[in-house]
Amino acid sequence: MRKTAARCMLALSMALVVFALVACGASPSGSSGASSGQAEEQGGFTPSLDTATKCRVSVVGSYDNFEALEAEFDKFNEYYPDVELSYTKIDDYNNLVSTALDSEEAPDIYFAFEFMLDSDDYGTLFERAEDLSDPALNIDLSSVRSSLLCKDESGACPMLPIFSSTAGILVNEDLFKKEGIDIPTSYEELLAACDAFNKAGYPTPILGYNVPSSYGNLVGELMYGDASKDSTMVEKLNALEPSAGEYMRPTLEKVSDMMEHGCFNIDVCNELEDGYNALILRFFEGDIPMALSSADTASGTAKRENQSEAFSASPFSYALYPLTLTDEGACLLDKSSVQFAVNKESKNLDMANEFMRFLATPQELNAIASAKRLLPVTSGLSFDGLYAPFSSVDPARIISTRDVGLTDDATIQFRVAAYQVANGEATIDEAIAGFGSYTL
Amino acid sequence: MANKRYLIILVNVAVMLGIISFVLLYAQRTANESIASEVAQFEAVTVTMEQVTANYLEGEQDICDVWTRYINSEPHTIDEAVSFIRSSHVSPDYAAHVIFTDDNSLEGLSTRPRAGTEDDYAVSYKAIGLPIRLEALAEEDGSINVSRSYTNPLNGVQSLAFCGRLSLVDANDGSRREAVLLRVIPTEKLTEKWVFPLDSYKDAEISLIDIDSNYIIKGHEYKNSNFIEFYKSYNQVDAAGVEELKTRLTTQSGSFFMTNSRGEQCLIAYAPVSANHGWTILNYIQGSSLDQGTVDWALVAGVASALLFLLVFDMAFMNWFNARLNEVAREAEAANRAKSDFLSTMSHDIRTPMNAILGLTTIAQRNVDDQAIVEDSLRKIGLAGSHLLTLINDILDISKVESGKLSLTPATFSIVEVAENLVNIAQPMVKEKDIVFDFHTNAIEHEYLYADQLRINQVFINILSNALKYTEAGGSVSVDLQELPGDTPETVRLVYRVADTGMGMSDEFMEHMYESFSRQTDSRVNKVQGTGLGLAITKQMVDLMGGTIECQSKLGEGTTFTITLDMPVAEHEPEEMTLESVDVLIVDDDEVLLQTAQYTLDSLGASVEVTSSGARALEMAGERHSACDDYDVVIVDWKMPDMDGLEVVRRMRALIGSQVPIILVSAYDWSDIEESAKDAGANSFLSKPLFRSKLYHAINGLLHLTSTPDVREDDYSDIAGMRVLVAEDNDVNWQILSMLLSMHGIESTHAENGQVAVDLLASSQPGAYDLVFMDVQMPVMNGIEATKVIRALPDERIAAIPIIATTADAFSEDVALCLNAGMNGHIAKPIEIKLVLKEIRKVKENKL
Repeated sequence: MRKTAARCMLALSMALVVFALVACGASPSGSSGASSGQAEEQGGFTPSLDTATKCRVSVVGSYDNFEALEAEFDKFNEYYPDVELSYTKIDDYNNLVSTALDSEEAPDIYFAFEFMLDSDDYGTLFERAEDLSDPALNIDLSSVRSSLLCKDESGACPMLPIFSSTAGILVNEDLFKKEGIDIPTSYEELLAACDAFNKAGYPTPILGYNVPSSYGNLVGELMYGDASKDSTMVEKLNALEPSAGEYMRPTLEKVSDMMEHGCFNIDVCNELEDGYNALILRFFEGDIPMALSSADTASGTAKRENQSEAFSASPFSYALYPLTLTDEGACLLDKSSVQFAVNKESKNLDMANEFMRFLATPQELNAIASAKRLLPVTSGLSFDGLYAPFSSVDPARIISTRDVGLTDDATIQFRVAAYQVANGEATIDEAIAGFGSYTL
Repeated sequence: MANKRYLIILVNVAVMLGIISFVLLYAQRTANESIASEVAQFEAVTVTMEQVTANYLEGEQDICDVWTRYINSEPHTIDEAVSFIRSSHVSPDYAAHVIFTDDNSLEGLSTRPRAGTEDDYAVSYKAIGLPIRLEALAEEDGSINVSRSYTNPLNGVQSLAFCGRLSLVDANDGSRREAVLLRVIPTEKLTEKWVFPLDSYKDAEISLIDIDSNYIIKGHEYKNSNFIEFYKSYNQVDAAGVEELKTRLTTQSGSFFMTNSRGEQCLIAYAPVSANHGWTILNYIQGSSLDQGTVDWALVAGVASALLFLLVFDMAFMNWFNARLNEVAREAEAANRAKSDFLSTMSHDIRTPMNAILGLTTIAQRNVDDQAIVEDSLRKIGLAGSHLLTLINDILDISKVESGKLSLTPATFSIVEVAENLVNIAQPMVKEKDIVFDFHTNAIEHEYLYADQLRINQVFINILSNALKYTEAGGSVSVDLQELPGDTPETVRLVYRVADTGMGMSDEFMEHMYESFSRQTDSRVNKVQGTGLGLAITKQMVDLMGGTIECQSKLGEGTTFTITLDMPVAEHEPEEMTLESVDVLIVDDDEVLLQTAQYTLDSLGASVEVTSSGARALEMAGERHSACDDYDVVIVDWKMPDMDGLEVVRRMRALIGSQVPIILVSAYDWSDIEESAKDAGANSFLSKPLFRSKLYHAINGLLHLTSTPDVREDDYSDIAGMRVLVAEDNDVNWQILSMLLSMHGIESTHAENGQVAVDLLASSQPGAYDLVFMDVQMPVMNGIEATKVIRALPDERIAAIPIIATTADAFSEDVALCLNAGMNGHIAKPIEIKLVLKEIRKVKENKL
């Protein structure tokens, strides 16, 4: 008995010593082991190059910052620890990216957008782009929704969609609840809600960034909804035939109608000087029931919550809802957002392609979308958090803008005409008459 | 006891954990201090780099200012200005833009063509805006006018620009035009320049942020485009914290820890760039790089392991020590019990003979007139006294053995004497118990050996005494003494084997028979019990002499002890012995004796015939006699089965007459048959064993081959009239010795102490005393001192007088002490008169 007790004491003391050593020996900042383990568990990516490769891979884009991508850099570094990846914003991106590609410091990977593929201005952008569908690159594109994959005339896939986006309205749910107003699910309900808020003392039921380019968020549903049903309309609109201006009339009438109902307060909207950042902060003031917003804009809300003193003081629940300007029910405009192209003249082309192969895995595409709070480009489209209201959208009402086939120039006509009507710069007829002449 | 044990263990564990905790805390504190030191050093490096940055900015601004001053010093068109700059601008990585600002066109010319072109120098900042506010452009010399980080519109590369205001003239109408000069430097080139200067910070990264915390230079580990946003993304901070951080970054140097994008701790050291307000240099380093190797975890692990080992060792040692203590306690208890037993035994063993002595003395005193009773009583008193003496000697010996003080005093001695002594000692008991006693010697080539004879005697006698003591009447005891070659030519190996048919010993007893006071108990031998010390002493002495002792015994069947001793051969001049042409017949039923005797006599040159039968001996002697070729000597054993020695002698005399000498040999005391043997015709007696010298002297004496003294040991008439001086402080002892000596006609003079003895000798004439018996322990002057003084007396004849120690100091070292002092011999008290007379005879024969 005494021997057993003594052995127990000895075992206890040994255990304590071992515990103390293990506890003390643990690295105070060491989580690398866990990270490594995670990397192994990911399993979706297997390096194909020498993991000891040392090189630099640069990504340039229009985002001021891109922490979701930088998080992917960290993950990639778990496989290739000596590859230094960086993201740099280029001012006036759309105009300067081609120039940047011409320079000696040309980026290895660069942002590209769907609209660029339709424009001759960006021809060189895609001439320099690697064909990501090239089997030799072994990039698996099957996990990306086919409606988002862009192909050029030669059938090459010059860019990989990273995010998908949509348009809708940011809704201050608490404010609706507070005023006892239902969140609108149809055009009529939208007008009714605006009226109710006006009456309740909210002069700006819907906030919007009052520049022509932003009016796509307002008219997108109508524009693509109609076009998706009429291929002739698409042809005429894309051809910018003057007669096609009539296709804009239903849309412009509703814009005018909404203005008459006081849905928008142009003065307040004009106060938003620096785009979506101002829009979000103004929305966080708490007196705006709804704000026209793309998913790209909505993705920036979380980070700005603590930048808003008003929101910090009086937080409220909000989400992005479908904007319904028809009686056909809510719809989802499924369009690509940012896409990545690889500079095929990159000094580190193999590693740039390897990174794209890594990023194209479903795990990473979902992860980067989740981090960015944008909709993923993978096949299993799901909605949660900010985008939860879209889960009620009838799948038949998901409209792929790529499938509809409207060119960027065609949509510009709609956006500028709507801007002019909303701002009283033109009547509906005058705006229709200007079809084909509008530019941003 | 158990509780105390657990308490000790708990205290040990607590102390161990305490030490480990202390080591950990100390190591942690050391690590913290080390980190603090590294942080301070990192901050210092950052401040130094801030100065380098300031110098760089001032240098770049100086170039810009030089251009600005030159262009403004006289009217220049934009083409002339750009041409001038192009001519002085050699770096291919840098560019300069001259941008008109007075018409909001923000257009101008560049010194480098647009990327992808060779001659398109037009540049417009309309789309991106001027990267520096015009109103912020300071015109005084020394101020830094550097732009925010922006994209160079001519090549899409992130760049910085050092700026200056220009005043140009319009090429068309000569009017003044306001413009700004931008010295454009790619931030990548700046990043390459901002490399950490120390190898120890190879993992460190540098960033430069502007007043809005936007990166101008961005290290790889920095995320977001804005440092504050980066900080907020991975660290909990409220709005107030953000403002406080912004303020710190732009107003003071310092450092702070933050969590990076991987959730790891990192250190940010910052220093505002004094040359350009709002800019701050940020140095980043991983937290693990700071404390890496500063805490010696191996030391901590080592200490912990050592303590754990100590704990285990302590506990094991404590257990062992407790067990040892228990064992010692048991031993002490046993020793106490042994001591009590010892005292009890001693009391019993001493009182028994003392009782006999005192009782018999009383009987003798009361029957003084009855001579028979007195003689019987005195004989028994003598026996009891001898036993008492043996007991005392054994006690003293075992005391010395157990205290480790027993030492050996080697000297030259005769193994023959040892053997004879053994036979003599054995005789009384052999005779009393009618024991069949055989003593064989085998191959004793070297008579004189060099060892402690006293101890060898003691060992041999002990073993033999035990055999005789524990053998019942009618049993047998056999002794074999054999010489074997030693390990070296200078040594021999003596094997002494004593076998008896006695009571034997049980296995249990044999396990501790060498312990003191171990006695085999047996009802048959209770009356002959010994002291129980003999075997213990024997074993110790054999060990001391480097020998071995083995024992085979079976209860009820007998015991055999075998002692093996290696000892050197003494340097002794061998006596010239030869019996050439002597014809000898040996008759003995003992085959071993026949062989050994034949071997011995052969080696002496004699012609030997042997027979084991008395009848055959008679036939052989008769045949020789008939052939007129009688044997020169016939040696007949006394006890033979078919015909005893006396009968053989008697018949042989009748057969061959009286001319042939007949020697009767026996291992027994032949004093009882001496008369009848002489009557039968025996000429001489020899006691077994038959050593070479003994045989030689006996035969030689009978055949008168050489003259040999024929002195009877019991006849001391030859020494009568000698004069001895007895130095003895004890009157009784003096009287005893004096009376014993006077009984043999020896005169004695008494000296009360050593000094008196010295005085008497000094004042005497040479030859006045033949010998001195010197007690050792005496008042005034002890025997040792007295001997030394006597040996130093001026008269050499007196100084050389033989001196024999008579002392109760009976150990070998005492003997050695006496001999070293100059004495010639040593007799232990109680004095045996035979030894005294023997010593006197030696003086008489000048053998001392």
